[in-house]
Amino acid sequence: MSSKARRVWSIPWGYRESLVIVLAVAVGGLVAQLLIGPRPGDWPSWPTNLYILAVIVILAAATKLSRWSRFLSFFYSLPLAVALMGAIGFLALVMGLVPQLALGTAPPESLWGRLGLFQVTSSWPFSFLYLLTLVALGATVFRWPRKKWAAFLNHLGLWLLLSAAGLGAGDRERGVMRVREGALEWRAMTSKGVKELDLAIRLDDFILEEYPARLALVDAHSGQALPMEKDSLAFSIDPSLTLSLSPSHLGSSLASGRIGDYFVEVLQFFSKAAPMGEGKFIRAIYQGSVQAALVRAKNSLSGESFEGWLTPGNSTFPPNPLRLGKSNQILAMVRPEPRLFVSKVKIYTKQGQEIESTILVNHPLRAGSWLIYQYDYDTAAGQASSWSGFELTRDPWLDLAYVGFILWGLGCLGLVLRNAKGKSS
Amino acid sequence: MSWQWHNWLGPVSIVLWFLGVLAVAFGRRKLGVGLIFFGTVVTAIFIAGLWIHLERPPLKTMGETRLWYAFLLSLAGVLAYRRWSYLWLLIFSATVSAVFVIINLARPEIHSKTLPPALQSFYFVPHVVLYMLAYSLLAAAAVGAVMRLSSSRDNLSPTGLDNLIQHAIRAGLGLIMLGLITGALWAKEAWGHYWSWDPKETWALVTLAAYLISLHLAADPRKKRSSLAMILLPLGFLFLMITWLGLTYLPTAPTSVHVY
Ligand code: HEM
Repeated sequence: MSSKARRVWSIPWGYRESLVIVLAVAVGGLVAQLLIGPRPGDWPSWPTNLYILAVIVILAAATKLSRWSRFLSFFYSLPLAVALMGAIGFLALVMGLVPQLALGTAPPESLWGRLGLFQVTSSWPFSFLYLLTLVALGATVFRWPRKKWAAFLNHLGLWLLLSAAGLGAGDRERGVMRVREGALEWRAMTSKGVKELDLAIRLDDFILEEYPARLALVDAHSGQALPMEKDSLAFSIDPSLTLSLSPSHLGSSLASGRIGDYFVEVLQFFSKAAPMGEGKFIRAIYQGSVQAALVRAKNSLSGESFEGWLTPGNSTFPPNPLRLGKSNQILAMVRPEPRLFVSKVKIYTKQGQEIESTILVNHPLRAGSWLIYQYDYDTAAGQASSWSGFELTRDPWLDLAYVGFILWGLGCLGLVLRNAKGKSS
Repeated sequence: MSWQWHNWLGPVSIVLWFLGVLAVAFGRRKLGVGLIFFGTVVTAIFIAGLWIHLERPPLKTMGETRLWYAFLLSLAGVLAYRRWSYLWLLIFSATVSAVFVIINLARPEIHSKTLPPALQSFYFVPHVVLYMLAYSLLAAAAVGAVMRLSSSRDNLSPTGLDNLIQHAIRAGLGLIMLGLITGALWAKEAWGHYWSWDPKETWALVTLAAYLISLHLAADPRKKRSSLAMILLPLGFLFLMITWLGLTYLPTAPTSVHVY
């Protein structure tokens, strides 16, 4: 700092004052926490959050008014910004180190629990700091000189996003729904129990496609429970490259590789098969079919050779590993990983809208004000799962958040490109 | 090009990087930069070959992301050297790239072709590549900051090093935030909400806070020479590494959906 000692609390306020104010806000939050308990998860909700946003906008815009500007310039000062980011960064560090409890679960009765250590985001210190950040960020947006457009877009985008994410939290709804094949469902499990929605889902079909299963050596004693851990193997062959492309044909081997002491050849592979007695399998395309492969394993030390059909099993058929003589190792097919799961659905909304579509992971369906996600299925049954689970979310503030993301992203691009061209700030 | 090829191409890259650094150190600039660049190209070719072989972007396992990191970091080193002529930066980037390749040689992982449905997304490639690019730049900023802190503090005129650091954190921060944004948009598509306070997200916020404080301190004319702004750069990089690699070892790990 400069050599001339500046009096503390003389305007404009600097780093020391900012730190004190931010700490005071945090302590105020702790007091509130002890007096009235944590912030309820659905507070603030509509329209309270709109009023709060209006107050923030007015405060931020007021920094432009000359009569108050000397005092209000504190809101768009770098010292306050730094102190706030330090405080929020510190709380995030706490959250990153102390496992947080889901909202709605009761925290332990200890002092730390009551102070909100295990549910930081619904604590008052966090909430107060968040609000002050919104005011500071808004003030920075309002006074920004046009020329620094990358920084302006960063601040504006982040401001809109943080407003939508924080103030909109109380308006967000989420539910989980399980629908049986052929059935119609309109009730969803929410954090407040079962709720009837303004839309219904009929599940017409659930389709699961799997990757070809992998082969693995498994300890016969410790690995008794099949299917085994993914990592209980030293090596694995991935027969998918040849197998998924070429139709299986006898004679030549489809894939081969080394697993432990064994040279393993895949002689035949069916992605959908059924057992036909005597440990043999045939191709069979129907719900509940299972993957199967005819495999030969030759021990390169003893020269012993073993051959047989393997299957990872499913809810209908037990797994079928290959015994390797008297050794305590067995060759097994690991439960395949899902490649794709899709629900064919028909959606009916209260407004009389009917939507026929498919829902899969990463491709939610928009229906009315809801977004519908593929959530889960009966993993034990796999391909034969008779139901599909959906997650439903509704967020009235989502569009504002997206506008924020886009502006913020443009600002980031500005930061990168301006530097790529070598211009200094 | 299966993972086996790495047993040959990995050492080739390492040798090229090593010879390149030696050449530059002995004054043969052009030859050295050429050799290092060639090592980077070899890594790039292997990544492309692996991509074709796996029929999916090689960005899933830790080993695969280390490959990208080695590629992008050594590339950033060459580009920065051509622009600012920092030998230490070139040596640093080549060394770290080599270390990542060596880790991959010593600990080959099971590189299966399977890609779970959650990762089958348009956002997958940009999200990871943006982060890897950012890591390279912010690593350079961290090393620069350590050099700055250990150099004499009386020297008050802005140096090329200061310029480099400011460029690296602005571009690096821009990229890391773009990575965060693509991740958030992806999370909205895959998991229903763009921010769920998952430990990985929380640590990304910690990292962001450290870099933003540094950036804003450096933007303050009264704090131009702030050593806190410099200290925060290696610290931020430590947070970045925790977010990327160290999460598995933290008490909050069991609640994360990002730990594979
Ligand atoms: C995405 C996050 C952010 C980015 C990328 C960002 C970026 C920047 C940049 C590039 C500058 C200009 C530095 C210069 O060239 O002079 C700046 C200044 C500033 N930022 Fe931020 N910022 C961010 C978040 C924030 C937040 C959360 C606050 C407030 C709590 C804030 C408050 C300020 C203030 C007050 C200034 C100084 C304005 C001035 O005096 O000219 N920023 N920021």
